[in-house]
Amino acid sequence: MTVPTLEIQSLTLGLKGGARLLRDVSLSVKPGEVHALVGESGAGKSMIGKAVLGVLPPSVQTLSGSINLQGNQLDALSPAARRQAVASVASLIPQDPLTALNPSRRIGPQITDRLIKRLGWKADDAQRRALELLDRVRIRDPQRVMASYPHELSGGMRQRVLIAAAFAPRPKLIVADEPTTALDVTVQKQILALIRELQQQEQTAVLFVTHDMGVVAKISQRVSVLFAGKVMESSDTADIFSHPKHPYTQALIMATPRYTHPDEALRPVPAELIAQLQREIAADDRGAAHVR
Amino acid sequence: MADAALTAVTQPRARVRKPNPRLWLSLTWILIVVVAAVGAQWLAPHNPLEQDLLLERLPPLGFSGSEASYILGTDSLGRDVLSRLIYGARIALAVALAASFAACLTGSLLGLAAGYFGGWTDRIVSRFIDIWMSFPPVLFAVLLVAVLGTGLGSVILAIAIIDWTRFARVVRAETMVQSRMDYVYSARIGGATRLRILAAEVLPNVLPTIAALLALEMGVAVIVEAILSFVNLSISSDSPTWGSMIAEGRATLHFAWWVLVFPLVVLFLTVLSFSQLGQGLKDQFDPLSR
Amino acid sequence: MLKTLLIRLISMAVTLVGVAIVVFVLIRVAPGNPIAMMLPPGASPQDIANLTALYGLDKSLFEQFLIWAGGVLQGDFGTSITLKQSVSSLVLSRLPATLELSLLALLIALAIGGFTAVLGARERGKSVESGVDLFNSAALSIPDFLWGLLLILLFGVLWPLLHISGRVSPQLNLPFSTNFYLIESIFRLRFDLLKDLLSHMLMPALALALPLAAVISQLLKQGLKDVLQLDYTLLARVKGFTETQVILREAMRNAALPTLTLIGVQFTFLIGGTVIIERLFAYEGLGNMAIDAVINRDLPLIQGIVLMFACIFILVNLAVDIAYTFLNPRLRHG
Repeated sequence: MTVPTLEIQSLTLGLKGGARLLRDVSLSVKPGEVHALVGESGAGKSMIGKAVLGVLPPSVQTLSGSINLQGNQLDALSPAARRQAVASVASLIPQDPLTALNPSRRIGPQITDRLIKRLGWKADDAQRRALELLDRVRIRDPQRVMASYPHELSGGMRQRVLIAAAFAPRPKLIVADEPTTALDVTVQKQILALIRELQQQEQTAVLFVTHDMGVVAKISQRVSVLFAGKVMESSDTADIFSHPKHPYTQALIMATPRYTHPDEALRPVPAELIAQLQREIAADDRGAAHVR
Repeated sequence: MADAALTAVTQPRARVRKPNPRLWLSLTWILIVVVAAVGAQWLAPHNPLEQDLLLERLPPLGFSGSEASYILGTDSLGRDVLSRLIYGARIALAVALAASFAACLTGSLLGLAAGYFGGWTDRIVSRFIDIWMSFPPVLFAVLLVAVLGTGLGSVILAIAIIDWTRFARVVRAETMVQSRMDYVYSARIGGATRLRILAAEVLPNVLPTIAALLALEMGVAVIVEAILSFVNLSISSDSPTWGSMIAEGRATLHFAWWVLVFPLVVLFLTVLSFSQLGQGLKDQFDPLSR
Repeated sequence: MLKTLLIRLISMAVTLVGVAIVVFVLIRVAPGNPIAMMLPPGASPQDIANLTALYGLDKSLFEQFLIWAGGVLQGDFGTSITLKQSVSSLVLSRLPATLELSLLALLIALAIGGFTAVLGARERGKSVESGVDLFNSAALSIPDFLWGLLLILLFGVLWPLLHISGRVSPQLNLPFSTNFYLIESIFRLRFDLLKDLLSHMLMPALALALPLAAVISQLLKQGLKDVLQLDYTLLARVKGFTETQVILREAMRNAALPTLTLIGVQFTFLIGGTVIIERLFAYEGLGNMAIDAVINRDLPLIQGIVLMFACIFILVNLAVDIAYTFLNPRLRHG
């Protein structure tokens, strides 16, 4: 049995005020596998990614559960050790290319700095790797882009740069936090294809956060469906579309607009289903509180 | 506008505030100063001008050699430090109130005019502000007092002449912001004259900023007066001022530290209180007016 | 670009002329006859008249101004009535002392302000930040004059570690060729002299620096905190950089730029403060000389010093604007 790249067990996160953000989340990602996290806004999918990478906001506490990344039990480590463990094997592709690049620094150093300063690469090797990746994300003039400032590039180009930067340190896991949401629909397809291509070439596992079931179908092998911080269903992508087990999953699939049928009416997730799920979750919370 | 940015950015971002302890402490101290100034004749244990060379340089109570009736000690001419402090409050307060109001009035009027009418009015006022602010303030004060002669009136006038720019700048910026707002346009459409709008609509919204600056200015006025009396350019009579006490204390620092310490502490607390009051008022009004 | 610079220069010149006129008028309106003060009591009216004519004080205000302005354009700022030397040589001889003091104060302010800003930003939300805020609030409320007095009490009397008077110990032999004592002592590697100079300059510089440090700290800390919420700092943390590294490497350059203009303005206030601080510490600089000049009604000297200060202020503002345009990548590359 292959050791999973990422193993999350019963992770429960909450705010200091008491509200729960994640409820007993468990999932596992195999090496080289793309695992999608799908759900509506506020379902907690980004939180999972942030928890793994160790960049949760200070107001969020880990109430229970564990995260194991490449064999490292992250919660058992000191903050400094944890930072080191994560930085050496994981990367992030952020959502908004506009704010994810430092406007005062050139592109080149923003790709190579972690390689040189945190991972001990030689400057020449880092430079070469950066240029190679910029080429692989189909950027036409990598040298010029390396020397450019972010405001000189278009949104699509910036997202490619961020993808290149994420793959540069040869990570074992990449957390992709809705990387296509802020982009034009036409660009989205290209970016998705790029990510899949690079991921396959480098055999990097990806935790892909999205709200779009269409994206899930295109890119992932496994998928976990989230609602209100709880995993509703978790299975292989192929199965989930043909045999969705949980009513919420079914509703999500139904709600995805079919671009091939533009005149079809949209079918949003039914309100009664949502209310019922919320009641169940609230009851679970009370039960769990009792147990403590 | 850079000046609006100045007022907005140098303050810590205000949450909705309850009046905090710093504000109350500041008001308390200012009240003490007011009481001392008003009731000097009854509160001071000795005549502040009375010299007694037999009792020179007595240390404050609690130190060896002190005398019971001279609680804070005496200076090198045997004058009671405490009484001089109390009488000094009179000058300080007089200057604080008169000078700050004078500067406020002049500066605010000019700032309002410049911000509201724009055009040449603005250009002339702004140029004046630039010229004025190219002078080092203390040097300007010293120069003005040399021109106007020493005396309380001169000091007040000098401070007002120098510091009107503080009000003018901020009020101008604030007025410019307010003038662009919808309520001004609707007043114009309604047929009101420009002057009327300025007085009735714009001014009330700028008033909180002015009030906060006024408190700040009082602290500045007290300090400038102290500096002027430190270099012997304030009032000409023997009336004690905190600044002149400090000057004397500086000279006799090594053998009569109390002559420097007590007026320094009093000055410190007074300036701090006015400043905190000003900052507190700014914070109080900030979330409401924006 | 060149056009804006030209407009700026003309604007500066206009302001300077304005300053000159204001000083000129003020000083001549002042009561107190400097000539009478120069001569011994009992001097004949003829002596007074002669001396008055010598200094051109018998002509009309307008004429006097033109004469003086004409001289200025040729580099002649007149002769000091009290010190009997050319104003320009007096001003230039004292200028280095004041410049060194101001620059030392600026460095100290940047160091203290920068350090506390980074500290407060790194520990944001915790009691350390509240401590920094408290310190800043106090330092802002207390003017340099009071800080100076406080420092005199602390380090002159309580723990006499530093000198509270003068620029340098009088018994020392100074091998300098300019009046830039501090800079020269470094270049000549005379660290004994450097130590003596610093022990005289540290307190006045600190008194000047503290209010500015507070402004820098508040502004920079807020700027850093704003930037630290943006995605690229999040990305930097994921890359494995420590919070301090993120602040210094990613956040600082974006937060520092907006504070630059304000720091420039506040720096001119600091320079203005040298007038009283130099007096307080008996430091032989321009400010100290200025106060004496006013007390003695030394017209030409007062004019020269005020103009020099005005020049410095204007140049500092210009430098800040140039630096801002240069450092902002968006402005630089169009």
